[in-house]
Amino acid sequence: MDPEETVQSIGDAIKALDQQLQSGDPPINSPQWQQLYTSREDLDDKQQALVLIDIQADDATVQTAAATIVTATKTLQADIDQQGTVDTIINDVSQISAAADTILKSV
Amino acid sequence: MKHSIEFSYHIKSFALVATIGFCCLTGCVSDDDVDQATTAFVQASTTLTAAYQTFLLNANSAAEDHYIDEQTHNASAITGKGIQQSAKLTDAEIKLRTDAIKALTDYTTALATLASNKPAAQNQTDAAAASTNLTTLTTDATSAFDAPASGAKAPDFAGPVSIATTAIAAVLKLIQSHASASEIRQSIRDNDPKITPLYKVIEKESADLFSLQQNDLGDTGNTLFSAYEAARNAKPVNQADLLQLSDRIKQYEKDEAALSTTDPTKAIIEFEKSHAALVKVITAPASEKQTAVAELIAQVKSFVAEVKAPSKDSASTAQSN
Repeated sequence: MDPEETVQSIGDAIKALDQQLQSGDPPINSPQWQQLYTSREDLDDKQQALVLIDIQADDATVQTAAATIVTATKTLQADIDQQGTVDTIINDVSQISAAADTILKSV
Repeated sequence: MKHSIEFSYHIKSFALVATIGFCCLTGCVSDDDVDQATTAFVQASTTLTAAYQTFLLNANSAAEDHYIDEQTHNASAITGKGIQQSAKLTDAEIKLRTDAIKALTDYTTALATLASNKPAAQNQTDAAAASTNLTTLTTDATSAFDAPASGAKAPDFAGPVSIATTAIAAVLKLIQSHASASEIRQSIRDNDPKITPLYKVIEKESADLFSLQQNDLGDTGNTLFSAYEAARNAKPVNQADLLQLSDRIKQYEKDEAALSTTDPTKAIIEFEKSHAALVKVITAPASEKQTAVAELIAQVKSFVAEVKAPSKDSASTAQSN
């Protein structure tokens, strides 16, 4: 994956989370829903920060982090499709968020 | 094939026509198909410019409306400063980007005129128009880069814009000074690749802005569903609130479907590919001209298929209603 496509990949993860949040499972406004929503907001913040930086596409650390984001986003989508637990979904989001942090710290 | 015969005839005529001007930049491929392709290309480029500008404005509207919705949902203050800060791009940034796409459009229009063997006067007119917009871009870019506006929200286009404007200016200068066809061809060969970074930065930013816009709208959906749930569980239930929120949710669902058609990124990528195909028609040796023309015709069809007329505010209706 081209590291410059990281922003769009995180966008795909956020879109998947929005679909889950609006699905009614977990119940809207329940503590679990709030947990998911907080994760979604964290990714949103990271994505907006990534738009503003000049991603160092040649950096090996950035490339690894970008690959992690793509893999974890696919896993997230699969877990949502298979009605995975909120904990599983939040774990996927944490991986994406940590990889985004690595890219943000590289500049 | 009729066009092949015409093509062959025109190739043989090249030496003669070259002596009377640079209308032979394409190797005298002047059949109707080339003319139709270049005309379709110019029309699609103009539509793309308008769609791109609308897209940038909508990205701001969607972000501002999202801010207002979020503040309302949290019963927080709504301020003019907050609205301004939530926008994705400043007015100057939008103008610079619109200038850039206009400059690219006008430059490629000038190339299309060359490729379609229009009269020399038309070449001059199109080159002059391209030069005018290029000057606007250069002026705006200089002022934006020398004194960046406070609150700039996007990475600047400094490098790609300055390299592209220099390259385009070099080609246009030769056209306007009635240089020979071979000189113009060589200049296009040398300078055109320098425009690529500008295309790439526009394409990336466009994809990023679309993704952000999609997320803003998605979060508005989250807010609406959450607000409806809270209103539904309120004691006593206020039916008017519920109806108002359900109307917003209906509009949100429509806007979510409409938004997917507003991403100009693919059209910009096809625009770049058509530009490259056009350059190939102009610069290819005579033996490869026919293939280049066929590629141009096919590429312009792909470009036209991707260009969508702008639909103002389609993305932000749910948020602002």
